[in-house]
Amino acid sequence: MKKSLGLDIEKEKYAYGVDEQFGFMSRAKIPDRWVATTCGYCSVGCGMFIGVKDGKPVSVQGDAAHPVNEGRLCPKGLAEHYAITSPNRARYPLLRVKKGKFRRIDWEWAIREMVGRFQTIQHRYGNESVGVISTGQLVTEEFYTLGKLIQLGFKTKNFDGNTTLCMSSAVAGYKRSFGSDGPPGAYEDLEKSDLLFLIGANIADNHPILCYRMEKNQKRTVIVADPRVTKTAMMADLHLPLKPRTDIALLNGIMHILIKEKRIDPGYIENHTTGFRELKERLETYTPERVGEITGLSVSDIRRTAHLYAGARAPFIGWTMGVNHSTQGTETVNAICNLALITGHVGKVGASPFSITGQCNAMGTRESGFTSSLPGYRKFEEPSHRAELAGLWGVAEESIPSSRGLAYPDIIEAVLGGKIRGLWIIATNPLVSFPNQNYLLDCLDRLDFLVVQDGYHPIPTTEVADLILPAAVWGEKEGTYTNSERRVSKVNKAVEPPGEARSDFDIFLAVARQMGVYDTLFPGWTEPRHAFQEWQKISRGRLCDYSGITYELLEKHGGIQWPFGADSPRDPGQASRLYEDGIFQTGDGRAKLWPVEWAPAPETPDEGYPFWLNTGRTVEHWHTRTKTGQIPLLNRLSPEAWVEMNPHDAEKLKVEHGDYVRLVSRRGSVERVVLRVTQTVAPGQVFMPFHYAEANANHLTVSDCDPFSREPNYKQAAVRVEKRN
Amino acid sequence: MSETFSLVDMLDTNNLPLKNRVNKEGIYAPAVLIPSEPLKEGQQYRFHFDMSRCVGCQCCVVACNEQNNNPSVVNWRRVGEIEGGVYPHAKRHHFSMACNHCLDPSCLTGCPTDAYEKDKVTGIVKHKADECIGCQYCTWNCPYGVPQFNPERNIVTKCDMCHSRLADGMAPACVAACPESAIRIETVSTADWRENHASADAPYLPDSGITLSTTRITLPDDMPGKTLKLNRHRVQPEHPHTSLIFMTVLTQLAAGGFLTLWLGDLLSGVFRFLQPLREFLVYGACGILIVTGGALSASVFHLGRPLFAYKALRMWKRSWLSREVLFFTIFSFLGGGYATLLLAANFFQFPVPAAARLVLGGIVAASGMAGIYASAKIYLVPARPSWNTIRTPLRFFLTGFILGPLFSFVVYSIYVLMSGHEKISASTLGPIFGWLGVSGLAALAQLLVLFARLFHLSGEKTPELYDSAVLLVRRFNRHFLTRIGLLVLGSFILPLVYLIYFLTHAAAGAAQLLVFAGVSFLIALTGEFLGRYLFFVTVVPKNMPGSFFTVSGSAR
Repeated sequence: MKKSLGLDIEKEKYAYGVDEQFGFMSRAKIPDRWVATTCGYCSVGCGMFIGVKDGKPVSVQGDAAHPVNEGRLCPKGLAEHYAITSPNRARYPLLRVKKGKFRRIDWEWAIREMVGRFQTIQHRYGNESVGVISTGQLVTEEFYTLGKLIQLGFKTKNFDGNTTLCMSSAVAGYKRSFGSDGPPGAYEDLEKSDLLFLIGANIADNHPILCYRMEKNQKRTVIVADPRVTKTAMMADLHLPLKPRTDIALLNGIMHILIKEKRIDPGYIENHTTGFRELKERLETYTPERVGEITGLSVSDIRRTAHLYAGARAPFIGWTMGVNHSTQGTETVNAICNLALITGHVGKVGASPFSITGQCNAMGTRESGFTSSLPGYRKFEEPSHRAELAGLWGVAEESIPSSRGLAYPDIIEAVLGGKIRGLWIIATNPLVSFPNQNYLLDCLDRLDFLVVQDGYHPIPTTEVADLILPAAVWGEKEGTYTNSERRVSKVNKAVEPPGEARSDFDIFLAVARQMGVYDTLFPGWTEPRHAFQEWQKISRGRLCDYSGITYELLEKHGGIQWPFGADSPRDPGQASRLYEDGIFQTGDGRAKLWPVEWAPAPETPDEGYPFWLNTGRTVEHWHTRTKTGQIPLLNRLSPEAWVEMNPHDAEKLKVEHGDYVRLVSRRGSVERVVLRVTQTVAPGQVFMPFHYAEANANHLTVSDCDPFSREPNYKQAAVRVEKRN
Repeated sequence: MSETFSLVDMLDTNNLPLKNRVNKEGIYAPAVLIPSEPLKEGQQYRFHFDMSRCVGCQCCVVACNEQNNNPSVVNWRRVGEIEGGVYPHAKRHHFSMACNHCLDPSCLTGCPTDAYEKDKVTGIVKHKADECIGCQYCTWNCPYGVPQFNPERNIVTKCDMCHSRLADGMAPACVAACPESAIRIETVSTADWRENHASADAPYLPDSGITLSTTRITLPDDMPGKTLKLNRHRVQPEHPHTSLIFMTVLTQLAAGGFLTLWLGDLLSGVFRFLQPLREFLVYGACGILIVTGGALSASVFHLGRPLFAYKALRMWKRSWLSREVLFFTIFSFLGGGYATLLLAANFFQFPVPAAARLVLGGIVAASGMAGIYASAKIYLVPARPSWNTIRTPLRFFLTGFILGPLFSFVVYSIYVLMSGHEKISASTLGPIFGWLGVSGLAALAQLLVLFARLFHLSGEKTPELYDSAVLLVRRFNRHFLTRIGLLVLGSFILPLVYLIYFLTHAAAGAAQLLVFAGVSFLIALTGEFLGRYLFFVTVVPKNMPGSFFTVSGSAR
């Protein structure tokens, strides 16, 4: 009443005040205390503060002193406190009574139920009949704990993360080329390189703070290879609008020119690599003319790229999902590494073949997790590595698996084949993010027991769970993240989780207690610091050496790049690069050059499905929108999925900018999505973001995966577009 | 990163100012992002937006909303998109825009309550929440859509360039948040800018001359010659402003009705057939006053803060909205006096000299006409091209002359019925001929005005006029046809039918007369209401170009 008469204009809510740290701002946003932490969205790893008032997160601010972001945050980071308070948080353990109906239970029951059901399944069908799909969203301490729990507690190898959907091709590629995972460069290279070559990386939308770092480089030349004219491509000095999935041809073509023109580094090749002869032979056929034909690029652009690369003092190659999301992802990474190696541009200031990762702590699970390798980048198939670990842990050597279990897409396939009967999904939302959704739904339906542990409910994946475990999210727990440049940063707890939600760390320990493995695997552990301290010992002497990193040092320096051994002479604030000495993690210390052959995408357009479908992201949203979908402002800025189409095609189909259309592939359809007619996509191609459950691009994508990394081929599928009446 | 900072200190005490930890490029000493020198005489602050740097990341939008605790539907800073070129040489460029802190801010000049001020030192256009009554006239006046109605507060709010941060040597939230340093604050000499403000112009932005926007825009070198707005498909209807539909139509009815009564009185000396009017005047005036009261009450509900409606009178020297309120207040008060005088004369049986009656009535009629004129002037704003034409005052006056006489006809029928006439005599019908004549002519003119709007469908250079006409004939085509149908039916066909009927049926009764008058009036009234609805919803305001998902317009 007072409001409708105009007596109350919410003066209190809209009053201003002065915050001691950040100055004049809305009074409602001035907290009681600022808690330093690291952003929980992407792998850039920005330093920031959460403002806490009366036990609630009310604001965030960038950390001006943080070495990564110097105070800047992207729009998601600037609104990150809303992800904690969002209305769709999971609050209580829930047990499914019937389809779509859950009953609230207590934690004791939930853990007992979960362990009991999994053990029954394992008893009947064998240990490997339980699978676990984890994430890149937890803290390293949790990944380390979870790895031990699954491999040594549950004794199943069928454990993988959603990171396989995201950067496993980079991992597999690095392993094949350099003998180990681990991006060699540093963000500082963005500022110090004179040539930035970005392949399949739209950093302006997906890693805006890296653009901030790039903008600081006044002497840069930027080349962007991307079939779509992305915001990043528009920033480029030279945009290479190559045909979808032809990066290998382009890279081989560049190397062909450099070898022909003798603009390579024979000394480096001689001293630090093997396989040059085979590579050179393979490259023979990649003449500029043939490459031009495959890629659709002009011979002069291919030559110009080669010459720019060769002429650069410190060329930097950065890539993301355009490379990784492919059945040839690993080999594309190898081709990138080949180029860097034959020109000697690895481990130098400004120069590096650099995988820009996706999730905030995908790197953490790569290092400490127990999925695609043993903790500390150790190899399953290497007996000395198994023995070393067994010794450090005080367990029998035989208890450590000698081969990797199934990768994520293969776990799903095993569910279909009845080999996996119980599944534990942690902090990921496959019912939006997994390719070929109809196939996935069919698989999940066959499970005996599905546990989904997540911070959010309802989301598409919790809705099909048998048991939902409510987890704490970013801002509610402590630990460390590692970003793309191997910088370990501290993540701190600002507020308590809602309802009965618990940190993933606590849940893992509770499961261990229920199984009776707590005392052997996690003796005396009560907080993440205990896991970190053990991880420090485990990583000692490895490439990803944490032994000199402590929580206290991290907080002092706003993150430290590994390797940082206990006796490291490096100043913690100083940038670090791998392979500066040209010694690699292979048996002979030499990097391996892989002759790589370009092959067409698994599905290409034809008469019935005449368009290439390319998928990607937008700056306002994070992955499957379990977080950002509930943040009103971000949703207002980007409320629904869209599909981009060239005007030439729109005219042919008689559809207009703003119309709603239907997309159909051999596997499924998106019934209603708004059309954006734009010259930023090529004729014959369409682009769609994958974030939106309501119009999910993954109903269209293909199931094919990379043979090495098992990463799905998200970026190319054949679709047709239909006008809706 | 050039200095080392002690994060541990801060964490340990929780109180140690972070200011101690900030490097030279940090957010606390943004020397290159805000002016380092104080303002000189004749200068003001302004935004500089570098379109060649902006990547459309929306950081500024989110940072602004957080800085000011605004709800998601209120965005003091917005980002728009345009693109051009042909694949693969396509270019998309982004606009980030908050308030332009204009030299001639139209939000300020239109405001009826003096809720805006242009800071004498900084030139920042500030909005005073306490003074605002939520009339939203500023949201119509600003060609950039800057002032926005906040539904949580029932008032309008806008960007104040974070002036308190500036005063502390800190960058505004949007400036500090931009990863590309595309937004900065700089100083400008106001005299020079008046001379040449071309760098405030950009494709799809309203002409900076309208309000002398101070925002300097650096356009990219590679801007394509021809560009398209990404929100070109989102031509959305504006808010219908229901209470304003009632208020404007009914005040126009009242003013038009009174004028025709008064004219009838004036001319009754010459035209004998109008003489029955003299007895009727008092009833007609009372009826009109009741309608006026209703209309003015309705207008209050348009305000976010109805209790403070009186403040709208404040700026009568400057604001047409204040003047509208003023003239209709005079109209209702003097009209009240006029009716009271006639009532008293009837009751106490004293004579009122015809000259006095005519003079007083003339003043009332004139204030009513002035009210309609002031009403129309409110809508004559460059920011809303489909309102900003001669058709708006024409429509408003014509509504008055269509409805006013028909309304009098209704009241007159009641009067005839009440005064015990069972049969209608030819002499009683006299004034009705007059009213129907005026109404019919006005309706004819109104039809012409309506159709004139459709000329904007072809060869129109002002995109908003074209979009507006398209809205009318596509999205609202049924409304539009109904509106025309009602106008023709209520003002031509039915009156013609009655006339023929009454002229041929000498024995027609007063009750029939009332039914006919009532039906005709209601049909015409519905037509005018519908027409006014279309007037409000089909206006396409000037604005900055939006993003693909932006719906234009933010007012309630």
